[in-house]
Amino acid sequence: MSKPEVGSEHHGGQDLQKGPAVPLRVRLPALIPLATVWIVATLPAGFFLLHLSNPQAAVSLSTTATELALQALFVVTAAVLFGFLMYPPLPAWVRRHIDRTRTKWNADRAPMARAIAELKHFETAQKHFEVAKLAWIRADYSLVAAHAQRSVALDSTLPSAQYLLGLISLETDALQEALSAFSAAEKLDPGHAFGQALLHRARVQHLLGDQNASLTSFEQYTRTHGSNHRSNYWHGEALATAGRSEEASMAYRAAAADPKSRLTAEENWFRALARVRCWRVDRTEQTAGGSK
Amino acid sequence: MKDVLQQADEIPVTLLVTLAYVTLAFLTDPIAPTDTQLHQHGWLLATEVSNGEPWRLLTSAFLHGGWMHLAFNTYAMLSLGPGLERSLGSLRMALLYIVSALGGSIAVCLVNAPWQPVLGGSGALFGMMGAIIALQMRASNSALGFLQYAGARRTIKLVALYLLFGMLIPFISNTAHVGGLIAGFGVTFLFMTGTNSLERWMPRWRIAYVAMLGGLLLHVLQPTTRWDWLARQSLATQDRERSDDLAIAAAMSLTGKSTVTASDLLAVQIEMQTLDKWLKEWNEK
Repeated sequence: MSKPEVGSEHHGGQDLQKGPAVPLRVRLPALIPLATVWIVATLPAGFFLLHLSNPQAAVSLSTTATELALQALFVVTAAVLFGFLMYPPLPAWVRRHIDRTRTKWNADRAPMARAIAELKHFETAQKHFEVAKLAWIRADYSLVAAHAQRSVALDSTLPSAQYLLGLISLETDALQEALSAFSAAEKLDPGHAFGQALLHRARVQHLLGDQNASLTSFEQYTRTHGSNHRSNYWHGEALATAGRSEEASMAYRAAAADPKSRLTAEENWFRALARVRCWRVDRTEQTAGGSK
Repeated sequence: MKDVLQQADEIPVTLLVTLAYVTLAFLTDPIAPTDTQLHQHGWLLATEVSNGEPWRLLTSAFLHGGWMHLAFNTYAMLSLGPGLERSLGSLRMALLYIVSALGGSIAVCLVNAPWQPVLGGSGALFGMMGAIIALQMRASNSALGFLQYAGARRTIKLVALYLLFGMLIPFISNTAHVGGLIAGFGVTFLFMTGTNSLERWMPRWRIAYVAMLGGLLLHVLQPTTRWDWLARQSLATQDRERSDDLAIAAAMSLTGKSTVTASDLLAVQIEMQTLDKWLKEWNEK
């Protein structure tokens, strides 16, 4: 099952500490604070250089930048306040972001460091999966991708590793890889992760444009595992793309329905998105009714 | 070299800083020092820092404006210093104090009016509190794991309480407190604790932190967008055309207008005369 490689962090010609490239969209939240620090660091040097050639331009730029920054702050504050009141996905996104950050910042460093250290001496698919899973919690996506891929390469019969590889592939827009991984996870362990592998497969099939397969997978998921806000929203999107507007509208309404108990941040996010879809559907229907 | 560093690491920094507080207090007046005494011994004035007196960025962190100010900061130094010095070592403690003092002073020069004097070790003391939080964060198994301990929560509450006092009491410079806190937290978090292979972001942040401190220090020493510095440069420049450019830039900075008139140029002159009059009074009394 596994081939031990003593004292090496390089497996299969790939540096697992670096991992494959993660799209900018995924890395952006982590880059914003660093970029802000660099802007603060380089602005004075920029002003100084500008001052040497044209002191008035430096002052003018500084004054304009300050005014624009204040205006932008005012506009953003007003937009955020308005959005919080009128646009449900905004508070839902904030809640989800806080929830994810709290999970990430509360994740224990020790098990991951220990697992990586152990991998230097003895490599197993299970150990790579453990590292990938802990890195997923810490949102260290390049590490997740590298270790999940290595885990699957060592042992392709681990459904959890396949499922995790699917999740990271979906996150990094590698849809074909995601589809293969979710399909493998579902085949190895039908109903894996309480049906999440099947649900994600349906989502990926929809994103790849295979609407028939996607709708079949969604129906299979609903039949086997019931439905929830996320599955209803994704199902609605697939139905809408397939041109089945009435069924899509029903799926959106089910996704936007009032919850019986407090939703998790993730589920709440999909409910908020569904509420916006419902508004759009209602408006379209009103417009169509008015034109008749 | 290693021996020298080892010996230097045994110098009691907390004691030396406290002695510096007291010595400077007696060199001025421990009960009620005058503005002139404080000015001569290095209080922080942004306009003078950019006018060839950068040492004020550090001397102001050892100088106090009366016995109550001195007593409060000495008590805080003696409460926080010994434990922190045992954890970090003397050399790092000295570096922490200097960087925190510098952070507080830079923040004051950037935010406060150029003629507003500031003094006291509280910026550096806030940096030490930031360092305690950073050490607790780094010692914990997760970024927020330290909040499980009552001691860590108490430190954060203390910082929040002092910042609240700073907001309510008008003559306390919260700008220096916040600047010191950020600088002390940053230098301890990034440079004074061990790191591991999981923290691949650390080198990027270390470089960015040093660049930010350097950039802001450059702007404090050469504030190319502040009217008083531009006006002084205008007076000191021999080149007539350049001098006029600088005078107009000074007026633009003072008034916030994109085009200036003769009365705006006059306003800069009047402001400069007032500023110079104060400085002269503080120097001569």
